[in-house]
Amino acid sequence: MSQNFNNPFGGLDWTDLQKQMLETLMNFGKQNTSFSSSGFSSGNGNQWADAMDMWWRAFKPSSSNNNFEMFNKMLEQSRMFYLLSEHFSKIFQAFENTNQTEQSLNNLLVEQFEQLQAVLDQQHNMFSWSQIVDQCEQPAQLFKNLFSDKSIFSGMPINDFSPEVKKIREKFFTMPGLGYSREMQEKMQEALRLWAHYQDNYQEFQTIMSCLNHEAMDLMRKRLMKMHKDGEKVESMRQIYHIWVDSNEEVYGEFVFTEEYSELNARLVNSLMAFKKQSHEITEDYLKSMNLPTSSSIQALERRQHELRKQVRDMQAELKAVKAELGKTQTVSKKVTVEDKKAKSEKPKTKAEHKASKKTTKKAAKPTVKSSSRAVNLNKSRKKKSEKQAATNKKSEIKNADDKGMIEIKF
Amino acid sequence: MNPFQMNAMDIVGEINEFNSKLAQGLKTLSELDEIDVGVSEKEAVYKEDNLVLYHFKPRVKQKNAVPLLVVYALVNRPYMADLQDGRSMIQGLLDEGLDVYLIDWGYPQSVDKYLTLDDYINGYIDRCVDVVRETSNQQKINLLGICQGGCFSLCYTALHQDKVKNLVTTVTPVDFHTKHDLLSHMVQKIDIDQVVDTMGNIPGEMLNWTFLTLKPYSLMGQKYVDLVDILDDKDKALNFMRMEKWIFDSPDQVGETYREFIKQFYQQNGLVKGTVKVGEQIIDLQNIKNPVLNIYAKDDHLVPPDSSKALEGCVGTDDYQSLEFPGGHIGIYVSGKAQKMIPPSVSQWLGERC
Repeated sequence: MSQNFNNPFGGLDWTDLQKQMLETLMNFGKQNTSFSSSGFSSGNGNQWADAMDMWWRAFKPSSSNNNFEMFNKMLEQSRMFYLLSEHFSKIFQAFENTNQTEQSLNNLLVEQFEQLQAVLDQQHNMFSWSQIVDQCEQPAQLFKNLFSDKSIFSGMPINDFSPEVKKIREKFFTMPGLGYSREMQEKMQEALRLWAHYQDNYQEFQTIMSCLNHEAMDLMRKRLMKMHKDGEKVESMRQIYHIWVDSNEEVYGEFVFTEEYSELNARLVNSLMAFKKQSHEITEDYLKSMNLPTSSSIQALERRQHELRKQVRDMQAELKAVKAELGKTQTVSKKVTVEDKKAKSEKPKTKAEHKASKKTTKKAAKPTVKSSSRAVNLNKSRKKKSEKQAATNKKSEIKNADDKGMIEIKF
Repeated sequence: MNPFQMNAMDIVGEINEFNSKLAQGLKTLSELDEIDVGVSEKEAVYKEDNLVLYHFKPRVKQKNAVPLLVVYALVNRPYMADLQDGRSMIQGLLDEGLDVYLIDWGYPQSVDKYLTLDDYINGYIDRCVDVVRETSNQQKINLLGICQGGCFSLCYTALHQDKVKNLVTTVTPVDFHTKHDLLSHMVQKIDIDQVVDTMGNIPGEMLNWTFLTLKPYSLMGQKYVDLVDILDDKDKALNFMRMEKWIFDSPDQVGETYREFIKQFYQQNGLVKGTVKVGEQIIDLQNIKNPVLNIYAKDDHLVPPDSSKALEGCVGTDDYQSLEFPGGHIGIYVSGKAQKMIPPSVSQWLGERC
């Protein structure tokens, strides 16, 4: 397919496939004016989605586009749109064949929505917690590996949550540790307990989300019934899709503001974090035993580095303030010197001196500027020296602070 | 009457049209290159760790000598305020003759996990304010806070009255326990200490997930189905992709700051109760005596209007004004309506307080 990259729909033309299907359906429609669900679905799948998936499978490997993630999101949601379209076409067909009363519509919707819900339950849940669980897959996998054949816990069914296995596991959690590896055994038991606790919460979360989906379907049915009653028309599948989204959003929106949700969400996050933390501890023990750097040792370094960074900044601020103060003092002392000189030069004792002083004022003005400019140059040179000195001091201060910090900060 | 005014051919025709649009849309997407964001010309005037302080180049003659420092949130990236030509609050402010600076917090690393609110507010922000003051030769400057950046700006202003002339807060949460605050509701019972102790820095993906779960069916589903209608237009596709890029461009959250922020602001509602502690200092919003302009969005689902409006009763200034924007949390920066309303209002308000 790589030669078709410039035309991502080349090779296997998905739209052609759709056209063929449309033609088939149209021919079928000519023979039979009523709806035929067989035009939409093949077995358990959906032909529109199947065709799209077939094209996508062919196109995907040949493309290296950065927008892959975006493609996937669009395709995933399109599948949902196809699914709803398929089921609603069945409802329309069935409704056409009834006496079209309110009761018959209601019965049809109940029946068809139950089927649709069963299909939706099998689909990827939009609300899947897996996105966040992915963050924790690594420690979870590591943990599972500990139950491999070589492990002392080999054969322990950690992902089986049947009541019987749950009982066995609970006994196992409380089993006292024995022998040389007692501590590690206890840590493992605790991790297992936390994992099971998290799984319970996860199951509960998924069950409640599934109930919400059912409630949303019920709300959607009521909305359609109301539309029927009010004489409103549904004119497109997209309109159906939007009603489905709005119904789900409304039911979910009401639930998430309840105390029940707040607690459920917290239980899920807290139990996941507790398990993850315990997994970290176990991993640390293994790494320590191999004399490898651990997360806590790196954190200790990071904390020390953070403290040092703060100390350096504080010193920089102090240095800046001192410099500013020094600059002010120098300016004041310079002013004082100039004023002193001025005062001395403006201290005629006699009339003759006074006259002479007056005469020389203009002449004296120039040298004053010169001397002032010399003073500035001198100050610059002093400033440079002082900055150099300050930099040297700063270096040694930082070094001292470094030493100090290493000693003072305890973990 | 049959409410379903569709026959088999209508449905097949609609789906076929949808498929054609989808195919065209995917083709358009596959032709898009790098998504460019950030339109206004700017220069980095100060850098420290991950932080960069930008100074935007003026586009017109400056009308207000007092510079405006934009303090962005730690969540997501600041280019949302300067997304693209014609959809940029920064551009609008520059066109109003304001001298604009912006703090870009960058992407925190693991090594930054111990930074606290004190480091951000009395450290980074204060040093940026000093740089702006020195550069502009002004004793006091104007601050504009965005969302969480608004909270930081409030704390900063309460602590450094000598450096802030006027404060503008935009979509800033103040009362974290209002009725419609879903984010707050979701985190109330979460053991934040355990989360931070376990995760260190909080992954950006975790935040994305939290925001998406506020309206999952619309934000994770409907949006992408409706997208097919605009994808035949490359410009519209690019606009969408810019927003999409921004939404999922989420830096990790610095662990200690996250801990302090969620516990003190969200769980304890400390900003209105006067219990927020930054370093050793308590934040008392009554200390804010300078003029305050508080802009909030009427349809904000992240920061409910009531949460922002609570500021009026908390600050100590006699010169408080609020402005309601008829839109959402992001629309206030990127919508066409916002371009006409927000920068001119901010400029006028600041101009009256030069």
